[in-house]
Amino acid sequence: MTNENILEIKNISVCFDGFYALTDVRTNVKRHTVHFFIGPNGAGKTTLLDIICAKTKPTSGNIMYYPEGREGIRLTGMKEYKIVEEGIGRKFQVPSVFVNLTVLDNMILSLKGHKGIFDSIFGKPSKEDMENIDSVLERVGLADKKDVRAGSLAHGQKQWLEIGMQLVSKPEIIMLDEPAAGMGKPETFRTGEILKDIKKECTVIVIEHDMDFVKQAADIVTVLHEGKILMEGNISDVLADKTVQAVYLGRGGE
Amino acid sequence: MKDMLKKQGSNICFAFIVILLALVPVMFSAGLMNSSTVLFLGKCIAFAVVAMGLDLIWGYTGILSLGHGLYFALGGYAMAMYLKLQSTGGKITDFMHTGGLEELPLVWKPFLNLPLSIVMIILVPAVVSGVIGYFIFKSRVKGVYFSIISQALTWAAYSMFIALSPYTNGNVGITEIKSVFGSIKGDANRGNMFLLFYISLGIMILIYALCKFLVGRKFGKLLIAIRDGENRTYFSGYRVSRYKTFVYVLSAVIAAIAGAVFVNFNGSITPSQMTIAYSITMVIWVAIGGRGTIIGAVIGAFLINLCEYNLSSGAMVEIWQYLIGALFCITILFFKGGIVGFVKDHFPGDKKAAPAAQAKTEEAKV
Repeated sequence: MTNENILEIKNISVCFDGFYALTDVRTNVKRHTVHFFIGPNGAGKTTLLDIICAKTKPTSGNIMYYPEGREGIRLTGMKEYKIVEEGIGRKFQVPSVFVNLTVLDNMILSLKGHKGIFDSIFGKPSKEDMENIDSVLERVGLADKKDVRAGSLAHGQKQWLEIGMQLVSKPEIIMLDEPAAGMGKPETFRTGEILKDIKKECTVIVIEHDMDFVKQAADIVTVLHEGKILMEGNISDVLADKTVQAVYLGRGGE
Repeated sequence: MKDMLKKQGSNICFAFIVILLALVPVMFSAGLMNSSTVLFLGKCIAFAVVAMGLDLIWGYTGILSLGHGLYFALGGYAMAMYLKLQSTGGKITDFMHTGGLEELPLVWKPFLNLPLSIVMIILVPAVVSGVIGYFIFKSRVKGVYFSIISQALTWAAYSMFIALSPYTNGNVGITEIKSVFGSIKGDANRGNMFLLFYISLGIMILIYALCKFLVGRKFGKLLIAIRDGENRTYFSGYRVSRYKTFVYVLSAVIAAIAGAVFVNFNGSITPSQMTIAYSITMVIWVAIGGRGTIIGAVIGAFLINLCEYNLSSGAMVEIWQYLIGALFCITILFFKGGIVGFVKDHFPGDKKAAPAAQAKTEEAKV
């Protein structure tokens, strides 16, 4: 029986020059769920993602990752490209697609495997890879934009392209930092639907402020506050919680 | 037809330049050109080659190296050492005598035969740039810090070459050498000169083809990806530092090949080819021609040098340096894409490369 948790975050603390960005954070992420981390600014949400993908080193604690049908892997201390190879993808807060390349090129660069120099000089994406790209572009609604320069896409489309770039690398976990930031209502809703669709294949970890979006897509919500976990549960429990309302929701969702 | 022009614009433009250059010996034979112009155009071929290498690393990968003169000179010295030994018949040179050496130093020994010298032309800069690149890129030094380090290293190498005068003839450099094909001076040796010219042209074509091939593959897209979002590329699972080191070594080797070609036409090599000023001049060629296009590097190298050749005599000699500096600033501030970028923006699709080629033709004819 495989572990039902795909990620176990164990007692993570991070200290930046005496300031604790995270204190003893302990939580699990379940397979094939959309797991939201919410909380006021400075609660440590982005830092937590940074630690998972090795952009930041934790002061103490570690993170275990259990890929489907494989042994557990200790992520703490690994190099970022290794973590990507193991199947954990990350989308940053600012849309960071390669603006001078076409949508298709962006997708090709994100394909799983073939990351060596020799491969990229002489290799060509296989037919399955191209079909995979087509189907992902279809799902994120960019099928007709293949040859468009990524820099000329609208903001929302860039975000979707980036989600697509994550998907095409067939990760087990996708981490999204504010995917709906700067989007209008219909685009946000669309993004939510995309997330619900992709959790069939992988686990999605999301940081978000927009409560309607959280309600629409979340399976589990973890509320962070000042570097600590305030509470965790499904969305209706979290919304009903008095402390959460006081520190977070009470401020008009910010 | 329009579509073909749009896609093949730079190749057509390059073919145009090649044809013009191929006609140079013919024009010389017909008495339309003097021999120093031919030698000068030969040097321009070398400059175009080094510029293409720089375009790979700066235009595509976004790493501004202000020290490629070092690799240019390393290739140049390696070639010159072989040629010097050819002219002394393998004996020790005058400057070694003066420096107190009794026999040929070990570092000169590989340059006794041509195949080994060619290996050294490629190997020495590859190893030097490989070691430098490995450590610099592994520790993720980038941007302006890299530029400063590349300058400092060039300066250090320059000082070293001057200090080691028994081996390098210091400030004077290695002079009084013939080309690989023998003397190219005078009417009797016209055949040698033409051979050298066409071989060099062939090297330029090969390097162009290599660069075009590389940037057309996924490799080239990845270089652009590194330039536009290095962190993002790491998180797409690429070992960016390896790619950077690879491109750095590649462009260093291309610079060294260019240096070797240059020496054949120039008949000497001095440490001044290793200076920071010289390295920056190379960057200016690429900037003005147009970054990230390969063809822009070729156009820039020819255009700037032809201007310099024609203008830097007489009254212009004083202000030429200021002029080129001003031109560089204007390009960086207002025409980021250089000449090629300007043409692309103003003639989208149709006839895009033609005007630039036209301008070049006028220059070449002067």
